[in-house]
Amino acid sequence: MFLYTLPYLIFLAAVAAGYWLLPRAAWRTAWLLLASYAFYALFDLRFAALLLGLTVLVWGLGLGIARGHRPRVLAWASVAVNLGVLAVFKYAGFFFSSAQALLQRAGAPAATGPALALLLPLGISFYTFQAIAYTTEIYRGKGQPAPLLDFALYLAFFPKLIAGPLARPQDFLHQVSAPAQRPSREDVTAALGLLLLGLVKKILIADSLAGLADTAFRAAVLTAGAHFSSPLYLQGFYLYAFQIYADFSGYTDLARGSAALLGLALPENFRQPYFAVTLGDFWNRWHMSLTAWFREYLFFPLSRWLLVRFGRQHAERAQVIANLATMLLIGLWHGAAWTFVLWGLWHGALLTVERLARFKPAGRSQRLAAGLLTFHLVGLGWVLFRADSVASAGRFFAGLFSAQQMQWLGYYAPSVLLTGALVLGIDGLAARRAGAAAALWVRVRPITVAAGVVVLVVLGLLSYARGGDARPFIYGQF
Amino acid sequence: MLARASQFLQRLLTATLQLLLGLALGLLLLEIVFRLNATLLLRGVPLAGAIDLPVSQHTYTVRYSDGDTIFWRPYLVRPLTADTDRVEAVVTLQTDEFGFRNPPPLPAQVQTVVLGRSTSLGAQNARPWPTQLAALSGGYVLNLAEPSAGIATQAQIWDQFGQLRHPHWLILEIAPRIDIDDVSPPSGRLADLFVPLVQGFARNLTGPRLLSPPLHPIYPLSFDTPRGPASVTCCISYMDFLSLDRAAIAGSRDWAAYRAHLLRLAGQARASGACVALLYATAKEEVYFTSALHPEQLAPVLAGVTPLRVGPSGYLEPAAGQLSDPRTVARNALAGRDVAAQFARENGLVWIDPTPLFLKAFAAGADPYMAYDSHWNDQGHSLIAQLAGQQLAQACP
Repeated sequence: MFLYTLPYLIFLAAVAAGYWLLPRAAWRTAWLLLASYAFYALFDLRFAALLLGLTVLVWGLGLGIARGHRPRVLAWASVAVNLGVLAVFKYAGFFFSSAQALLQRAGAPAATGPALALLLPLGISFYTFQAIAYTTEIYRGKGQPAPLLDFALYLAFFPKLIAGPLARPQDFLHQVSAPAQRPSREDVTAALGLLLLGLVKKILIADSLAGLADTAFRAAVLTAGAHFSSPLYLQGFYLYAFQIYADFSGYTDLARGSAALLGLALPENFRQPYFAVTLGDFWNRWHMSLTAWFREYLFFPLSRWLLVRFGRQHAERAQVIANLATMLLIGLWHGAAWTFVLWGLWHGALLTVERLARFKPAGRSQRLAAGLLTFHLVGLGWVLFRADSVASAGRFFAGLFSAQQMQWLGYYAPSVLLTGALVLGIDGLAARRAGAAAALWVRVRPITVAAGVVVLVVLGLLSYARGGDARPFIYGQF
Repeated sequence: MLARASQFLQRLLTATLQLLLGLALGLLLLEIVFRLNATLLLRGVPLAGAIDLPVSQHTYTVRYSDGDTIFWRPYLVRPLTADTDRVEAVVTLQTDEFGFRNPPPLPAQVQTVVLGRSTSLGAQNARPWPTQLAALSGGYVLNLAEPSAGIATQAQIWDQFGQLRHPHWLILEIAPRIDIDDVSPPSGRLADLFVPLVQGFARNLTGPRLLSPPLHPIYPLSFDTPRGPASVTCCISYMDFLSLDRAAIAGSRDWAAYRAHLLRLAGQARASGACVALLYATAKEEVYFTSALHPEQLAPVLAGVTPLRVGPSGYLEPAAGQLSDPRTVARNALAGRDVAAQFARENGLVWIDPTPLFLKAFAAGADPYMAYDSHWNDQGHSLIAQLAGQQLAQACP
């Protein structure tokens, strides 16, 4: 049950109705927890069992840390359990096959046994990271252990379970324990607006328009990839940049809108990332909750440790190492494949260069040029991110820069222009919701809402008539 | 009170206006989106592009129960059981970067471009005739056939996807029974979406068609041929066209309009250096009515068919009464073909007509058509590929 489908919207309405009808806070928490586990179990019952086991274990360890029984050992144990679960389910196959390939290169005979391929539980990267954050906050003394039901809801809350955003434990748990405030009419309107925006981003932009990017990536899988026209790859290059943003920010809007209907606030995850003028700026606007997590629990501790280890005179070197290590792990967090490793390193290298060069564009034209450059550098990274393999990414780049059959540019350009206009238009509007723009927005909002509903209804009917071809959220696969 | 009412009316008016503007904006956006991504649409929507996913490959089976006769006229076909519902073809459909049925990537230059309808696309066939022609000729045959593509749509497809590849040949599938009724360009994706959308819903809602009992089954229908009795399922539509003789077709303004489109397209192709051939898409009913020893045995096929006539305006229009004389139909069966052949002769276009081969094959006991579907089967496609290969080698080599 994906967040953009009709069954989900019905489910959400039922859960919200039940939630606000229940008189006590504890009952409401239990109701949301039940709904969340039902939502998760609908994907696979085993996923729910794993989450339940991990929840009880991490909660117990958190309790132990707070009581002062060998807190350091228990904290590390909790982190190890979470990373262990991630390693087994997400990375074991990758490491196994990579080791196998390495051994084969060294002359060892090829393994004949079955490949190690475990079912990847949905949302595992998200809930394990939130569990680590919970443990760490208790260990650092910044947070208190939560009641089991509250903690279980923190990990399993269905709007954010599959693809975040990664909520800070104290922010979320504070809301759960506080008496719920019935949302005002404005809150409900805002929540419904977020849901509609999320649906438009996912169904219209990410799937119906930017989904055309898939052609170029499918072409790059073929060995003869370089013979496809360059404009095909150009379309893929731009459309994928728009697709991944519309898809992921659409999910976040749906998650935040769903949570808001239940009186809970989830953190923002995006702030017009393609308006960024540097790579550092981009990472402050893109998947902000993940960036914040890595900054808080990896980059800062690692930088501090390196500074202590090597001394202040090597601060720059420490920063480079911390940068590269963080971005490498951010890459690996997204998926167990060399393409993600390269994507992480690409960003790590760019951030390092930017930092060493102390690059800070000033003035309008410089900022515009830097923004365009940043967008294209990020786009090159997206090719690595999306490609089926490193070889496939190589073929994509070869096709992109081969300048073959440029006469097809006119055929491929309109989809890029429309998608770009929609994505950047939505973001531009979001960035200027003040003063005259806000007044204008109030006037045109009913028109855009009606247009959005018409578009979604027709696309939904078509999808049904075609026999259903639901496309999962891109970040739901991590 | 009055002020309140006026305020209410003003609000109502504003809201209605906003709603209508939103509706218009949404529909405009959809129209643009469908033009940019035709894969969102359904089969049956006329498009100047392909509806299949680009650079894709999928394999599927075609069973008797997938036949278009069963889809369009389920009440005329005796139910198939699980035992009698046979697999007729296993198809692997591979698409190029635009979604047409070609192996990707497309070369910058091709030997032959094919424009046509579902018949040349061959969604029911493992190896449609353009694929076989490519194997026979050794050149790249670019198949740009799309279901429901009328002449104006084909001209758009030629403009956008064909002529840039500088082909030596353009082969244009032609079927006057359908073509003369379909000369306008698609009015818009949304406008053309209604019927396929209803069909799509019907397919999803009705479920397996094997279970639906027909009301007045006549198919498979038996009739005598020189080689003995034949049992066929056919004739889903365009039967009214068989009420017309050569003079009526050639004299109609419908044919004149179609002719003009055809000449324009042929002229454009010739101007870009291509030789133009017309491939006649022989229909089931033409073969069956021509082959019948006693055409009256095919009379049940004509139930409910309204004959056509040339009206006072010069356009074809429904005539009074019913088409009831199978002998007239048998006489007119190839009238459309003959008019088209004459047109090709007059304008120096290569004429590829598989009808004699189909009649010969049918007389020998081999039907070149699918059992419950109106399209050619693999044997029909083979016959066409061989014929086209021979004729192209002789004319304009």
